[in-house]
Amino acid sequence: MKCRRARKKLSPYLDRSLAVKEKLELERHLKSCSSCAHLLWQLERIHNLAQNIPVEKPEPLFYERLCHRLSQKEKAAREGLFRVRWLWPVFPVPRLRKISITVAVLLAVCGSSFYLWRSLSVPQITLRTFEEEYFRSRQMISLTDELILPISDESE
Amino acid sequence: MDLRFHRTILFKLFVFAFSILGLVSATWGIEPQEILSRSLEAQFELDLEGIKKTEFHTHQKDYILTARFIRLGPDFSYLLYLSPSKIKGRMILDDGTSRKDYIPHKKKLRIYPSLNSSLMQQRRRENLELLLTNYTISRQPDEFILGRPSYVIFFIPRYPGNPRLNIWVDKRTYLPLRKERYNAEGKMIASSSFVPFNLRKEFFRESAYQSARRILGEERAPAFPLFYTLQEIGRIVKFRLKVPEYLPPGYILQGASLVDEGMAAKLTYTDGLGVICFFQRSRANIKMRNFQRLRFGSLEGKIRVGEDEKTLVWNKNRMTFVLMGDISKEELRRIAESVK
Repeated sequence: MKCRRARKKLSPYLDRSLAVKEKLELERHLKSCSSCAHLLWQLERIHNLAQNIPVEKPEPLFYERLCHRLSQKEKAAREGLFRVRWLWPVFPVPRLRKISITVAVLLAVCGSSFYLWRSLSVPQITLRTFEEEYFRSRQMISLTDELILPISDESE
Repeated sequence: MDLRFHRTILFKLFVFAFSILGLVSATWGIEPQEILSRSLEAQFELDLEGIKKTEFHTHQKDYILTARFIRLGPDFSYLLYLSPSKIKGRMILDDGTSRKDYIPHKKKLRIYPSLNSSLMQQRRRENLELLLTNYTISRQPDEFILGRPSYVIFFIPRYPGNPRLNIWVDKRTYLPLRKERYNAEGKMIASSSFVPFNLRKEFFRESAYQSARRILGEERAPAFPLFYTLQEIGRIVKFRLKVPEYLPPGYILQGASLVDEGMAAKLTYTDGLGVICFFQRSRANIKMRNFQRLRFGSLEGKIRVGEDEKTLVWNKNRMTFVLMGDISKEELRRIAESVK
């Protein structure tokens, strides 16, 4: 067994959770490797010290309160997108929060679609402007008459 | 004594005959170019009032336009349309600087530079030179128009397919009294003439200003240049400017300008009489009526054929092009094909 693998198994060895074969392999390695043996000794000391720390008992109803808080967290996590903390003061009621976010998303989608449609769509124009300009150019020719022909199709 | 008397009589007869001959030759000998040159200036310098009538014969129908016309010197001209009813009341006031065109029923006022502005005077001279290059000017026997002796001048195109013009010029004032315009096929498409015609000096421009008060104001024609060069307009527009590589014989670029509130560029070509306008703008759907489909090269366009002018509209990539001119359909197609 190599040191790297042996060091990973030191904690399970102290917890006595290693299989017999692994335990024997580790013990064989510890006999030949002073470094890993020293590390085991250090871990044993920490373990012993920790055993001596007195255990404090939780307050009464601690577990009930913890369970309640955990269930609340689980519920908030289920709300997903609507778990926006900065909105809580504005819309304290979760339902309002949901509605406001849905409306905002819908507006954004509609707005961007409209912008896309505007930029992609082709404007409709008539020939009138061009016809007027053409006849104006004709007027600038010295021998053309001053009276302008009315644009041929007013309704266009 | 008798001999002396006879000699005096003979001398007087000789002087009289010589002066008559001189007068006749002075008028007959005048070059048509000189008549034209004087006529172009005279129409902006005389004081006159009259009713002007213009007949247009287009593909769809004929129009007869009548307008009251008043001109007082170079810086005042007033035109009030009398018929047809569709444009009755339209008035144009030209004060030598700006030309204000007002359509009352639409309450639409458009302001352009005056037709007699210094820029236009220069353009008139250039245009006359171009006209003399591209047209054969032939003087015909004199005729009487409205009881006034008139020079008759025909403009015959050197290149077939270009329009033709006949003009009658008053011998005394050099005012053009009548014009007849023919298309490439030789059909008369427009004629204009004065109906009643008075050279009046007692007319006061104040009274005309009184009737045109609705279009008076401080507004002036825009100060930006009327025409740009191709390079200048290429820098201004937001798209890559396209230019036709083919033009009918005799036509040259007159200038480029911005139209449709700066959305489109207009390139104007002329041979001195005929005009071709090439418009281009970013892609747009142009509504048209009475058109035919026309294929040219790999493209398809819409063509509307009038007697006077023809219009070809087509789209390519993200651009829309409009070509208008008083030329044949074939020439229009060739120009469109050559746009690069």
